Amino acid sequence: MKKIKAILVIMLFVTAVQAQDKWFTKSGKILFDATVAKSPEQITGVNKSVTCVMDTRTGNLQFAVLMKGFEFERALMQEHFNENYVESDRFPKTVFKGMIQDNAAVNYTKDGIYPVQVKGTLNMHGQTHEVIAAGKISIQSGAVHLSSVFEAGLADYGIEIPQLVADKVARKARITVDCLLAPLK
Amino acid sequence: MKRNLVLSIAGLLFITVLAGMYVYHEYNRRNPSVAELSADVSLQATALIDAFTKDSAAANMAYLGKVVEITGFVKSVDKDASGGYTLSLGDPDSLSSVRCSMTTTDTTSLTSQKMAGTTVVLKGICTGFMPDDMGLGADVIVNRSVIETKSSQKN
Repeated sequence: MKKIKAILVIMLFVTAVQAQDKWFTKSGKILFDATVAKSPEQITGVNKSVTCVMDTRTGNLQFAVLMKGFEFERALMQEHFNENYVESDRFPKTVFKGMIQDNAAVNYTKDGIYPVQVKGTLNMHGQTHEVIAAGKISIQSGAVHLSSVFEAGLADYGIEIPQLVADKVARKARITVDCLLAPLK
Repeated sequence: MKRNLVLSIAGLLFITVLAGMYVYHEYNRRNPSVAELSADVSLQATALIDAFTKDSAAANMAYLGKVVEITGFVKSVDKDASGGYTLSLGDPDSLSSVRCSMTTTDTTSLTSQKMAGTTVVLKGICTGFMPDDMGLGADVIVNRSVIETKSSQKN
């Protein structure tokens, strides 16, 4: 009977430890910026409903975002983004699955800012490509904050820019990721 | 003959001005504040989650892009790194929620201490459905939300 109790206690402890390995948010932020010098205005959209899960033990990282959730200052720009460029009715979701390359160098129990490199695959507009991005993991008072800026070539993902505006829209969109994670209980 | 020419030129100018005004208006058009829009549909948060979970294609047809007025229990209030708020509405025993990102100007009383555990009525644009691919529960995403009323106080 004592052995069973001990096993149960150990199982509970292991489960608790494992649970603390996983961190998540459903309200992360991604900024999409396709502005170039010749753009007549800022071509930026922000999505504030990004889902992100990270396993601090393995370094696995996953993001998912609904394309219709990107909000632009001008309604016409938002409509063009959804209807003509990313075709969000056909391809509603963009997903990144990857791994923190230097995860062992991050001490998740100690406050600090840790530069990291993330490698994975980005599925957008129905096409998947490898992405390697530099980022930062900030640990402060038990909170984990992920941030990264990387570029995604729109043509690589089959997103066509009409000739008429080709010099006014960036060929590579600048993607800024900003996620404050909480422990997954 | 001369009169016809003048009329033609005036007509052409009129059409050009109208077209210019239309282009200018379209170019500068902003998304209207949801507070100024009437709801296309009113329902409970749990009913909206059920609709998407059971048949997401039909729910997309019914709700996507529409102004939805949702009544629901506030499970949590999240504040992001830049100060934006998201309310999660639904059954507190379920991982699935209606996640309502709030209009940045509507942040009054949006602290978890005040809002979590109450029932609210809010309005926003239904933006889509995030199925439970990561083991975190499925979510209906509602953007540009504004609170209409707090219908009951914390238990």
